[in-house]
Amino acid sequence: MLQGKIKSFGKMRPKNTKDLGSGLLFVGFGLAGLLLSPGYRMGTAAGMGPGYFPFLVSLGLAGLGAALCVRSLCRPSLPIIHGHPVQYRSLFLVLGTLFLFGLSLKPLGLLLSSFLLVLISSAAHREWRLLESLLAALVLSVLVTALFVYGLGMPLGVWPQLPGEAN
Amino acid sequence: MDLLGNLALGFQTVASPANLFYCLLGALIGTLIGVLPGIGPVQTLAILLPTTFALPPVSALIMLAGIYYGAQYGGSTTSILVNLPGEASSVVTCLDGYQMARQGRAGAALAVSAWGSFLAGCFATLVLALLALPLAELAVGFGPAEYFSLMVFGLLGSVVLASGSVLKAVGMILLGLLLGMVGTDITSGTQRFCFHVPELADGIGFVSLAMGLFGISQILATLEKEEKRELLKQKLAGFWLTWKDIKEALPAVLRGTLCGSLLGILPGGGAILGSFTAYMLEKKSSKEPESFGKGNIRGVAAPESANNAAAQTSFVPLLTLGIPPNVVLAMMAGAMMIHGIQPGPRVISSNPALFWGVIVSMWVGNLMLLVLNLPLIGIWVRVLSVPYRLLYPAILLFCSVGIYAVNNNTFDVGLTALLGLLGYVFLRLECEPAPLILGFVLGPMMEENLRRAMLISRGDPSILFTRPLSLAFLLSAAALLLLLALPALRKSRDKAFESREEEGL
Repeated sequence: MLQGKIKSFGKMRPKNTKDLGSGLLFVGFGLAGLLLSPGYRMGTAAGMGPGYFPFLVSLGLAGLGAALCVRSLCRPSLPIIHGHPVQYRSLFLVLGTLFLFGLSLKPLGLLLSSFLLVLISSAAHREWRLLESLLAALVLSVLVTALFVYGLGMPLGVWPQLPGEAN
Repeated sequence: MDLLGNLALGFQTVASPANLFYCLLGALIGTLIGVLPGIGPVQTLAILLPTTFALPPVSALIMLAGIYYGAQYGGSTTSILVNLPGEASSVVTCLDGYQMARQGRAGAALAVSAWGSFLAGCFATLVLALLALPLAELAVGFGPAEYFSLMVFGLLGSVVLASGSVLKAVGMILLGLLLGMVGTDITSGTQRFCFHVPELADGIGFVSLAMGLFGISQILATLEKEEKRELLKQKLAGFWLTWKDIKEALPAVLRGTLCGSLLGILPGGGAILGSFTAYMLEKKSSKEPESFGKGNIRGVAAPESANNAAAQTSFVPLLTLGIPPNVVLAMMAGAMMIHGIQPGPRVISSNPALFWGVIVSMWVGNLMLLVLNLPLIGIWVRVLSVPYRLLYPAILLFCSVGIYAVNNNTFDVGLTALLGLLGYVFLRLECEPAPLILGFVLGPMMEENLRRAMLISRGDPSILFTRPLSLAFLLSAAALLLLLALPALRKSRDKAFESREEEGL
């Protein structure tokens, strides 16, 4: 597999960055687990405390991550398959609108926050069209409100709450 | 025989108008979402999980099962018509299915895939019904040591499924185990890894994790790619198979069914492995292997039957042993737990109507798909032509409202966004998220069983090696790892996954 792919992509890299990245990620999570687990009672093998199993797992994870890091330094790289550049704009817009939706749902109500979610997240696409997004936002927010609030009877405010109005 | 009585109970459960309706609804929505390119059963289930929470457990599981094989079926439709596999298990269907479509035989390809899936479904339902009782009886006798070792075996088995590095896959399992420990420890009541966030006391929500890792991250990755779809612009007609087609396809269907049924039961097996193996077997056993990839009807019949058969027999380990063999079944396990049902050998005895109802509903659902899908194919094709820039905001909105609905909690929406980012990083690093989900689902059970086993043996880990069944599971797990390390097998496994990647996955 290595040979074929390298040939097909026609370039070598000094290091296997993906293995290194995953290794570091695993080491990070593993170390966090190793540091935190002893804070919960460890107990003994016969009477395991809440910290025992997490400690074991974190140890394994950190060790494995370290092994990956070491291997990435000596093995030639796999070529990059997801060769697309990271699109920070769409990353930011999609994740940002999710956070925004979480924050706005209670104060603004379902209708308006759905409208905002569709409108803003649409801009993450490279062929963004404002008019089309406005229309889609309108249709989808009405549809979702009808389905979830009136159809499934979810306890959700539809309209924005006035300041001072208690929940 | 008892089997008939049990199946009758199952039919009784499914035949209620409400359950029939949810079965139909699940199959239809599953197909609708599964048809969308790039969205397979896993994503479909992740997106639609919350919609089933308002239902009683039996109806919810029937609907989820319907969504599962509906999505599977929808994926084949996309493979044949657009040459874009909706999911990994229909990648091989693309090879000959799309060629058939280009030769103007799209109708025949769709028909053979529908009939093959249906026949395979019938057979696999029987296998499931026959194996369920004896296996569950065996499993009731398992002690904690056996369970722990079985889970180790099951988790390592899932490594076979993950493409790429074995080390990475094992790391993902461990990470999943670790994430599964977030929340309140059931034995001691200690809050672990909660960072004083009250919303984390119940742990990371399964829906948030599944949607983040499979739904959101997929959207992020798709947005980076150029959109290219070559929708077949020809009138679809001719859903009738000629006698020659049937004579060619039927043996392939039977072989595919057997192959898929067998591979579906194994841990780490399932629809993907089933369809790949069936295709390769079919090609190897053919007198004219060069006709494969050029629109050979056997190349559609065998993998399509195999993936459906495997999809259904992979319920066997989940329903009898409580071990999800692959990520889709891990989703089902997560859904069962949310409904308060612990998957495992006791489901049959404590909840027979649910158990047999779900089994029979699979057969009924397959029948519905067969009857409905061919006439509805025009609608599915139209769904395919909706541009992605309109599609993903809708999916995003539906996900967000769905996640909120699980606990009526806005924190979960933010958590899902974070997990989506994590999932995107995994995609970038080529770490398959499937083993992580399995580890997450099995983690709490593993810890519990290890604790009990160690309590019984007074802290002596040799209990895992001295009990014969437990030893057998551990040895099988070691054998699996050893096999993967063997260069010959590595090469063929890599080759299988490579062809998958070349097909655009």
